[in-house]
Amino acid sequence: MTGLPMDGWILLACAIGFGLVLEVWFFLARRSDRGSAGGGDA
Amino acid sequence: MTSPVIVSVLVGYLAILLAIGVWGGRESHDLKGYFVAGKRLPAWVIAFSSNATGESAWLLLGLTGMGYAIGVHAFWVIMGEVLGVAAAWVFVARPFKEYTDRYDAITVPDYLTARFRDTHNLFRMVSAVIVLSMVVAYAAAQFTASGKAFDAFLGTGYTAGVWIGLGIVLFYTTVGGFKAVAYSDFLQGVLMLGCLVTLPLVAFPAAGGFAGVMGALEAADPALLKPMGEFGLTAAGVASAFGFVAIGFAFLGSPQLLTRFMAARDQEEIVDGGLWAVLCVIGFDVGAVFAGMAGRVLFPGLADPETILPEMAGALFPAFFTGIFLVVVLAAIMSTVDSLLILASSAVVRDVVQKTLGSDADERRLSGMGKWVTVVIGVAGLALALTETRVVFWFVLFAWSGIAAAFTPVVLCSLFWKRTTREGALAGMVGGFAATVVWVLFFKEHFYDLYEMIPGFAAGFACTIGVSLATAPDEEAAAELDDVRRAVGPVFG
Repeated sequence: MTGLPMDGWILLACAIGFGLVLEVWFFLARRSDRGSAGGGDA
Repeated sequence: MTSPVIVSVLVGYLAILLAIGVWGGRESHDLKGYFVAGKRLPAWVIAFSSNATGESAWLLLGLTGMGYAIGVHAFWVIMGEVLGVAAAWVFVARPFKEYTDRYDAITVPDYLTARFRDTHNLFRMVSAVIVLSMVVAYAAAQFTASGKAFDAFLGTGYTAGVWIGLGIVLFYTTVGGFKAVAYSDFLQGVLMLGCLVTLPLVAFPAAGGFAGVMGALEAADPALLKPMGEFGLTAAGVASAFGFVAIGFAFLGSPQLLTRFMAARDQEEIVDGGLWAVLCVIGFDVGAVFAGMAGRVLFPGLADPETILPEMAGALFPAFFTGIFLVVVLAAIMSTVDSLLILASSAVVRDVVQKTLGSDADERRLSGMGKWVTVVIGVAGLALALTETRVVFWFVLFAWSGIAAAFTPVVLCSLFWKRTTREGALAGMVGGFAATVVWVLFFKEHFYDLYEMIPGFAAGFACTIGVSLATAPDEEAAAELDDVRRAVGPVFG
């Protein structure tokens, strides 16, 4: 339908996805960590 | 192609760069201010400036050309760069920042010297040789590109174009120091991102829509839509794909990129900056490859695929935006060359003059010396650009991987492997760099043109690990690494 074969889409998804998931996972983990640490401040 | 509109856009842009130079100049009177902007940069600046530095004119001309020439096979480059940038921010940036703050380090050799208790300044001398040799050649190639760009867009002639490029970069780099470099890189990164996202959005409808482009590429050459390209699943195909992925390895430890982490205000800026950096590099690379693919349909049969971006900019956009595209090509050139110049200047002034030769000159005088060294290195690059362009381009093929292979394996081992020794790290630097050069000179053409980054990294790691295991570890350094890890905390939890 889109003209790009399925293996091309899979490669593109992996190309963007691996790094993006790694970074978002890290960002959310550290941000929640920062939030909980900040909660204890007077 | 020259029009008053294009000239106006260019002059306006150059005026902004000069203003940033003057503004940054207020903090460039000591070494910390001149080389790392006083370690006070916010997340969005370090994110965009590290990407703009990492991606030279190659991104705009080379990667769009790859999309044009090999289509979907260029997706492997996207994978390498996105993974490389993400891994650098997730795994490397925070421990590196923690270490360099503890040592009050302002250069990567500062860090290596302190980390490995190098009282003889061997890391500084080896680093200075590698950085200077690679930077002069790399900068010369960027000046060559500047000469060609000014000549192509404005008809200045090649030599005048080289001089104009040099003059602008030297002004804001010497006057404004790293602060001006980082903020001008931020502006240049935003411009590059805007153009690379816009270009395919305009080009695809003009070329018949997404399905139309894919259909036309399939008809022109079915290999353009295959992940392994014309090679198929063969050794040559795997070597090619792996080589493309390896381009991204350099983001993990090249000193011109690590400097951004050092210059961050604090650890929280790094957490925020990583997300910006990854989104930015996705926009850069996906935009460039897809623009090239659409360009293949719009302008088939180009003798040089790397001219596809100027072709598309001239044909698809009104003069004002053509001017913007010229500015963006220059931005990519300048954002790389300014960082390289200041890196080489720091290698000479901080690592050789101040620390190795033991100069007792005050900070203001050393900072002034740094500015003069920046000028001298820039002029050396200019001389090379004006006399021997062929050799320059031969050099630039491995300058990126030469610097990366010398520093990255050693920096990664120093951050994550307690058993790394001073002798191992020195062997890794020399081995990684030498392997890159030797591979290009003697082996590359016999091994499917495998990108030199891979043997360079393999040799760097092998030498670092092998020699470290054969020499006595430093217990104090090992305990310090544990302490740094505790201070930084876990990566994901």
